[in-house]
Amino acid sequence: MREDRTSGRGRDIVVILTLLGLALFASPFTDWWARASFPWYFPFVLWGLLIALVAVTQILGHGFED
Amino acid sequence: MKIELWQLFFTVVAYLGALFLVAYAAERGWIARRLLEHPLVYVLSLGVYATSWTYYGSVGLAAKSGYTFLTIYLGVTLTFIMAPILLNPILRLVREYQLTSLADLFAFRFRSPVTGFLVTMFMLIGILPYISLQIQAVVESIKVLTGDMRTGILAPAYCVTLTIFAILFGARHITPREKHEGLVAAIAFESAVKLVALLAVGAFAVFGIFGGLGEMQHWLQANPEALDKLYRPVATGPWLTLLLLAFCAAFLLPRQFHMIFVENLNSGALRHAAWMFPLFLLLLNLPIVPVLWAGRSLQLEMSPDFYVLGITLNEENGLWLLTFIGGVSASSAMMIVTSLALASMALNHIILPMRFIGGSVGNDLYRWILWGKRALIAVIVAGGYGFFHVIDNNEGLVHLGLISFVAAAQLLPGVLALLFWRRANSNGFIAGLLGGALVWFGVLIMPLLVNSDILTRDVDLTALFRQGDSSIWTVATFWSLAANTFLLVMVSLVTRSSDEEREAAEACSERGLTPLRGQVTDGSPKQFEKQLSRIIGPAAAEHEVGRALEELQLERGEQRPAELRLLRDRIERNLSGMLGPVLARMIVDNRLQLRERTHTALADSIRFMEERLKDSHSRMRGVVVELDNLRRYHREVLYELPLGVCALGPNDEIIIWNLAMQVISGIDERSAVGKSVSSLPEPWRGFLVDFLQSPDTHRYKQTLETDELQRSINLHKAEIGMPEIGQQAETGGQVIIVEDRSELETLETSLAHSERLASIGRIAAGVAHEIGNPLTGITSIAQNLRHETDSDGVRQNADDVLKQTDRINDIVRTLLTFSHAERIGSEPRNETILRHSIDEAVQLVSLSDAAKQIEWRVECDVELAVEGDHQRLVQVFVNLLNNACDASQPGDPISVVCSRDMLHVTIRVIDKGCGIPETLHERIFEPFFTTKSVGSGTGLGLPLVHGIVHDHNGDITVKSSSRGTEFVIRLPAPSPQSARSSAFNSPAGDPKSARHTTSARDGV
Repeated sequence: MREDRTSGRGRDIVVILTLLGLALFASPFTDWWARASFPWYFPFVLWGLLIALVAVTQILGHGFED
Repeated sequence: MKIELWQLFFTVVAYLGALFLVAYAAERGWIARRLLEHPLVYVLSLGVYATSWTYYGSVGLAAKSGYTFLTIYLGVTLTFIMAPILLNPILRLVREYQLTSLADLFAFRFRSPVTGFLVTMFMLIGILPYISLQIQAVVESIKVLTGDMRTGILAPAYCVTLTIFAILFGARHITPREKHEGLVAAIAFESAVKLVALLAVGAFAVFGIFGGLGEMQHWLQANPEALDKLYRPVATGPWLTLLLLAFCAAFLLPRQFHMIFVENLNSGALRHAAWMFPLFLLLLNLPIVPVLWAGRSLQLEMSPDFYVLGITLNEENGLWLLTFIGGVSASSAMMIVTSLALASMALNHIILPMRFIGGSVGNDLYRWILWGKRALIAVIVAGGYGFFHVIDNNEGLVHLGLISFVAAAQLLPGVLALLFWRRANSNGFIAGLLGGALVWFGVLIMPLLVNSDILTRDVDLTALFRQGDSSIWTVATFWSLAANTFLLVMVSLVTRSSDEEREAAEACSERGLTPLRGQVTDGSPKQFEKQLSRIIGPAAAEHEVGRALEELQLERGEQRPAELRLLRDRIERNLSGMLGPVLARMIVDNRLQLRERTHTALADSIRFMEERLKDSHSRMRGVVVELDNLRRYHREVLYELPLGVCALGPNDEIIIWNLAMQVISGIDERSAVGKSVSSLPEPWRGFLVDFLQSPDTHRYKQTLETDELQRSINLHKAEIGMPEIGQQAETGGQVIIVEDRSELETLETSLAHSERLASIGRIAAGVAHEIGNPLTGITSIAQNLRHETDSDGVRQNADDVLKQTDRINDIVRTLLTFSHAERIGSEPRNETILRHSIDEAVQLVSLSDAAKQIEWRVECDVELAVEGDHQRLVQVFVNLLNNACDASQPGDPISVVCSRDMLHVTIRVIDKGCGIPETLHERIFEPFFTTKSVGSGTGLGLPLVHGIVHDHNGDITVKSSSRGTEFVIRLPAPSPQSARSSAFNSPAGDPKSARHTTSARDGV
């Protein structure tokens, strides 16, 4: 079976997604949405969006390259 | 509703039994391998991360700390987003070096048995709280369902049941190294059950308890503090700390490491897991908040940890059973996988090293490993039970889990150093781990022990570190990781790494391309077996050597030093998969020793570099890629060169043996490269060695007799400087160029022969023309003399003159036919029936007196045809049959036999005459060469035959002995598409054909 390799561009995308994740859930932005009286499911929506973004990059072949 | 204890016990046993069936079906191949390797199955198997903590404890944590519970899964999401740069390199190492646990990984990198031992001990102690959490969760859930507060035999019975199933899942086979497809299938199934159960409970909470999403919203509006309690702790609680702990736990918990890396059946599945696993966790956590609110709305009088069970308890729809099974699923999966992973670590890094130090394990290593693992699984589960029994935990399920999370996080600095910092060494890692473990123990474990009255002194180390209202988790995590990292860095900087550590650091960093060094002292795989059998037993030694030979595609008789070095390396890796890297290295270093400071053969280094560069190509960047492409291009040019290239190292070991060299010599590259030129088979050994040892730099037209033919070869030789490979400089190599001239010589000979025939043809035409005129005059005068005289004597003389002029006429016609035949080769041909040509030739030859007494035998199919000229073919047969007649005695047989295969028609003219001496075979086709006395033959018959046969794109050969001669003519068979032409010619008896036939009966 082929192992996945990560190109330079792939690494860039991984870093960007990680930073986005940290921005959403480990930054002052987190404090903001925690205080902003959003509906109860709001964190799940954010989480779902992050997952969707990762899925799209993986399906398009970035991040992991054969 | 009254639920009995025995009902729940049997439910547990039945469910675990069903799980076992799933595992068994997978191992027996009843479940398609394709399905087992599907990324969804892999992702579900990673769901072992969600234990009773998730199933029960998340609701409790949500009740206490709001959305803080999400950090445990958001941290995992971040880990898997970083999978390409964090998890994939670890997967590569695990697969390449057959590492089976966290302890293996660190022991491999830091080349220290102490490292493996410490990691194992720390994990064993650190994970015990987590195991006890699972036991507590199941026991408490049973109490909730039955209403019976007595635990009694519950916990031990559950532990014993789980031990049996853990052994069945992961320690059933005699060779415990293979991946456990059954385990993966079972864990994936459990995760699916968990997910379905939680989603069902969540749906029940929303639609069953509240009556729909709208109703739940109404309840929320009526209880606004519920939403506030969810969000407030995000900003005020240990959000970041828990995120970090979950990030570490996602791959550093033993069960996670085991399922992500060790039991990975499909390396490509990791990229799918990057988003599918976080999605699984999201779905798993979606019901938590509705369940919490449902429990609140029902005002359940129980710990929020068990709201999941509590809200379904009074329902008759049986949902409580599904919920209970989901809880058992979550707990059992964790305990089974964790006990397997920890047992493997303990076996490789504690038990086996002690056993091997004491001596060999006897004759059956595999059985020893299997039973050792089974015993350790039981000990570990018992340890978890002991922790559960002794420790009084009233902090909730999550508290115990977080203690284990902080323990697992102590491996983070080591992992990052392993992947990204080559300077880190075992001293630094050990110091860091001990420092972090000490803080962990003091801040988290000691209060537990004090709380349980195990320690009487009330020492609260947290007071030393805490500032303000910082959470215990923040304190413990920060100070333990700080101590760990500080000691790792400082001690690594002030101490030196060993050569082995540096080598391992290269291997871990993806940039290592160091060739394998040294030569093995043992000279054959058989000797390897003998050496290894002294430690691991003869059966295991034979199996391991055999396996490594098969993987490397080597033979049992292998003796090349480089291949033996590779075999040693492969055996070490395979043993590492079973015994751990430290033990494997110990055994191999002890039993398959290397010669100290040996000169690594340049051929071996170059081959090794070539292999590694080929494997590493996709990992190269920038100018390195360009250089590697250039290297490949030059390699390809050298390999495909139409001249044979043989490059030799300083010790005459063959480094390069290109494609042309393989074709010329018939020796393939695999049999040549790496060996000394003196070990080549004859005649090449003598041929090349002689040239190498001579002062000549060129040798031309050297004859070499091989099995199949005689070759004519030019040799060229040059000295070359050797490259510096792996810090080892070499001097003095040579390259030999081998040029096969055989085909060229054949063409030259053929050309010379053709030119000679052509010039003879021209001479013959000129002579015939000059002789013709005076000959006509002599004939006329002789005829007139005969008619004008009455004297018998004069008439007789005239007859004699006419007879001689007839002879001269024959010779002149032969010369003209010969020169004419050389010029008409390109005329179009038709399909000619061979039988007709042969019959006509026999008829003509039979006209002579000598031929009348010959027994003619013609075996030729009347439909056998060739593409050719009938008349010229008749000339061929007439000449051959005449020669046969001349060589035969009266009454001897002369045979003409024709046959056909796919491509050729073969005609054999066989006589039983006196034969042709072998020394003359090469000359009989030369013009004017004859063995007959002067005046008896012109020597042009066979050259004429040769020329006509060649014009027909055929060939003629002769075999002769004292018992007779056989001429074999081979002509191309006519193609199926060629139509029989309207100029189809020469039925037998055509007078025109008889007139145009010339017999060179005075040939040889």
